[in-house]
Amino acid sequence: MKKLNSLSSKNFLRSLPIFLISLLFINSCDDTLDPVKENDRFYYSIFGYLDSSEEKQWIRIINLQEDIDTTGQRFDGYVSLENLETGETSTLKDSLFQFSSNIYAHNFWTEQEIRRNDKYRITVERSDGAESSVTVEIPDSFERPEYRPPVSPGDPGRLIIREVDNLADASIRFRIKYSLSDIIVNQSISVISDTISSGNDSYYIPISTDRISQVTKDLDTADIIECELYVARAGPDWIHFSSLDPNLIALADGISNVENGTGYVVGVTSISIPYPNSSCSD
Amino acid sequence: MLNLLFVDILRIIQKKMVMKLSMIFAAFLFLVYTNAFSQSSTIQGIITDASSGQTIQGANVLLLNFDNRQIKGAVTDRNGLYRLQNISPGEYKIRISYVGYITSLDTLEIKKEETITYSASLSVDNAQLDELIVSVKSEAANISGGHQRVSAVDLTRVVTPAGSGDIANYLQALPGVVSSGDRGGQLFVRGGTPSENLVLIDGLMIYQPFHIVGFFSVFPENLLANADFYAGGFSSKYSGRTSSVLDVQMRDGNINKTVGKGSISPFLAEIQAEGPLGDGKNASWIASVRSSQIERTSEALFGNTQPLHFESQFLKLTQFSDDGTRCSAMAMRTYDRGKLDFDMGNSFSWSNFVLGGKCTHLPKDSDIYVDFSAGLSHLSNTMGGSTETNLSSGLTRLSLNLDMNQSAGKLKLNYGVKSHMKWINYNIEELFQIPSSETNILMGLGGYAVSYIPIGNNLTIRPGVSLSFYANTYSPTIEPRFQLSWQPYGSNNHELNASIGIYRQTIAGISDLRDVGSAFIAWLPTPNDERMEAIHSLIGWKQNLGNGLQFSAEGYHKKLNNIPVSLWSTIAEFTTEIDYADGDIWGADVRVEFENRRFYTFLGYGYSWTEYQSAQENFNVWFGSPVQSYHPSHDRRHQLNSMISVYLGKYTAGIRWQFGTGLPFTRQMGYDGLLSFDQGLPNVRTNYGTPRVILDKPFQGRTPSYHRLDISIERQFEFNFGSIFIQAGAINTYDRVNLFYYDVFTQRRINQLPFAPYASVKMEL
Repeated sequence: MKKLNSLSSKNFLRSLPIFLISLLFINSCDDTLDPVKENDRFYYSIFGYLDSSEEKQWIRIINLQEDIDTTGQRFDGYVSLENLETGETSTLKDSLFQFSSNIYAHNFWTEQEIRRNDKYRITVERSDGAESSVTVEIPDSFERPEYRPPVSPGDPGRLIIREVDNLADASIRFRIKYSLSDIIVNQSISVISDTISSGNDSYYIPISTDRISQVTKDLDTADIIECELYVARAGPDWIHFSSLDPNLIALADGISNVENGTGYVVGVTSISIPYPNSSCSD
Repeated sequence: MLNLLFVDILRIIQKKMVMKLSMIFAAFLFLVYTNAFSQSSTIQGIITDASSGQTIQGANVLLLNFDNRQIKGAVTDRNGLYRLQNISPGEYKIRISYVGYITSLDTLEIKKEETITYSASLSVDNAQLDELIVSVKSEAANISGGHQRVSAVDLTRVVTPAGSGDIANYLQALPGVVSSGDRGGQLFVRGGTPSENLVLIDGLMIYQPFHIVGFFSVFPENLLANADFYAGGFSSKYSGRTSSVLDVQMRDGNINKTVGKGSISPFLAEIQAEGPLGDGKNASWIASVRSSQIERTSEALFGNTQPLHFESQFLKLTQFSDDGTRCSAMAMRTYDRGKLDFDMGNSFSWSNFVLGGKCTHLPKDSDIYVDFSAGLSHLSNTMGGSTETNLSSGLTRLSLNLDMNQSAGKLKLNYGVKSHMKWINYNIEELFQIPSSETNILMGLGGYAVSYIPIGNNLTIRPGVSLSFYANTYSPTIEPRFQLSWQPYGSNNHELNASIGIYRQTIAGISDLRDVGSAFIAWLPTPNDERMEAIHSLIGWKQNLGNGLQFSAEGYHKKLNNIPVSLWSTIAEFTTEIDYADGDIWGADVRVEFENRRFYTFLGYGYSWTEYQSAQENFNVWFGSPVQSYHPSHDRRHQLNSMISVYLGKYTAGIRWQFGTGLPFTRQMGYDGLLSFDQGLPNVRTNYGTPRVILDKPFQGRTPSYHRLDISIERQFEFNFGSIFIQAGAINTYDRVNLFYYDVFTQRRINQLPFAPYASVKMEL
């Protein structure tokens, strides 16, 4: 046992230098990291809506398998819009937007007519042939909303909405014109969360006439112009987001209607009516 | 499927075995205890260092007859306490020895059924002083059932870029201990997470003792008296945690003279002083102040400023009296802050405050050793501090503990009671998220008993049980544990150790495990009144191969239940929404250690396999199955650690090389901005949306392997006023690019320290 132990000690000491030297060669081991998994599930992210009442349509498209765009990179892809009923097709034009000092995104636009009751497909094709697409159906029109003034002073009036099975939006839209620079900015106040159902696809929304001035009262050198109440009805593929778990919405496959990609695009028909306060704000 | 079946069977066997063994223990205890009261006497006492008053652990106490034949023998424990039992009346010699000290020899007369308290102070043998460091036996390969003793000398063997060693750096050189990197202060022990580690400083809990710069902790070599590190299988004395225990005893001050030391290096500056209190030579103080320097020196060293800072202040007062009472009061404060991603990302900070006292008493005519401690432990930690992200969490604990150590014949019994009150809170505010906060108060009471039962000359069993109760929340719990040691040849040169036990905890530390690079932990009680649970099983063999060579090998399994994990989400936000996971951890450590007067080397290999299973509703939508199995981000499969120290007169050279295979991380499949439709149609021209990562299945990728070589050389200079030590060295000597973490939300790769040369100067007066 003693001899064995002694031999063990000597063998251990002899093998040490060889072991240590060989470790140095391990420095050539690869230290690269490959964080992105190549896949054919997610090529592009597509968000937005097609509005039959608007002249210009805007769609957000992000190439998912590229790095975050922090410098305004060129977009690798060709975006087209096709009316599946008539075959009419247009190519969407690229417009780069900067959202903060280091975040950019490409929004694509077209002035192709969006017809009610038609189906449209947006297709994004990458230079290597990878493709994402989304198909939406544009709903029919609906009864023109009506604004009823308040019954008593101090009470809000009511925006009455009828024949809307999928209420996608209800908002106050206006434009702010800055006097010193003549810059005009589009703004909106969402009022959809104040919606009260009155049954049979009908709703009403309390809206006070000074709603715009509540949010713009501190703007001394600006005018509020072109104010209106906007209501949009969505097509049959509308998802009632307010009733969903936010974690489910956040999942790539949670609510997405994009093939080989993620995101959500919906077809809508909208109607705008004059804002109850003709001066937009007091 | 077969693997799952095997695991389930093992779990059932483990639980049944543990419950049966605890019943056997109770019966056995009764039998042995009642038989233990024979007509025999006991000698007990506490052995201390004559110059400093510090208790000495590991001193040999031998009872001899006048022919110098050994009658009984014992080794002092961490309190310096020894006991020799079952002694027949007569006259004896008692010899007490410890390496580096002058052996003490005295005679004793023992009467029938008598308990004698004989304490002694050993004086340093100046002739051996220079060789004291190399002669103190190292414990790195001396592991017994997951337990390893750590001495201050052990810490000197690991290359540390400062004037002295540190337990954080030492622990990371052991198999089975995984750190998140050279910054962050997170240690994962045998598959467990940082919040599952129990760390005690003089008996009081400290929640986050490892500094943001990974080489350092609140336990430097100069303050450490001794430490017990349990990588698993710890006894019932320790409760409230499911993974590991680090029980540290801090040094007492020098009772004879006032001395000081200080050191400085590009990483750290520290000053320490100690001395007697009053004139009676029975009281002392010791104080230490440490502050990191890397924030100031990193521009010159690395070419960029590293925003990392830590500091600590420590004070301890000790007094002991002739009646066997020893009391101390201690205060420790730490502060850490920094950014793990130096250029971007959130700032982290945390602060510990520990205040408390401890008294031990060994009555002259009694065989009960009493240890009482009381204290306050507080932790606060934050992340962010900006308008976008502001997370904070805090823990405050008041505790009272009473431990007793008693012998009855051959049987030894440790038992005690504990009570505590905890305040736990968190506050989460993130952009786009609804702020959330919660405060909880827990009041708990517990007790434990562990018995040491020798069976014959070769076998010792240690059954134990831990009990805990909480007011108004968790149901009472019983945690039985069993350990055994078998020395087949009758000496501790060959020993088999095994243990099995149930471990539970009621607080969880939630961190964002989607990437490893987060140092923020939100503390909360485990929800739904369900405790986290682990069943440990381990078996190991250690052998002294002679001529300074020591070998040990140990295998372990942990079955985990009810581990709170963050709800899986693709949104870059911290969430306290949690779900549960179960887990299995399999592993083995092999250690070889060699030392002689001039040379020390250690080689350790660790294999570990950790897998969690979690059922989350989102998984079903995402991956097509509600249950996902994955290897969490601390599952380092293979680890290799080596250390070499060479002692050549006034010079000491050190080398450390460490290797680890890559850690799991979650690969991404894409990145976009999530636009919301719940407040109307989104305007893509003005709104980017919430940043979102499309994630693959959890932790399917592996980071590159990690390895690093550290070297140092030190020279000692002696002067009339004291000693100066000059050290030079380098961390990451061949400049390996080691990944610290990959931030999946910003797609940034953060690396660990590059080649870092350093020099340090230490002065001892």
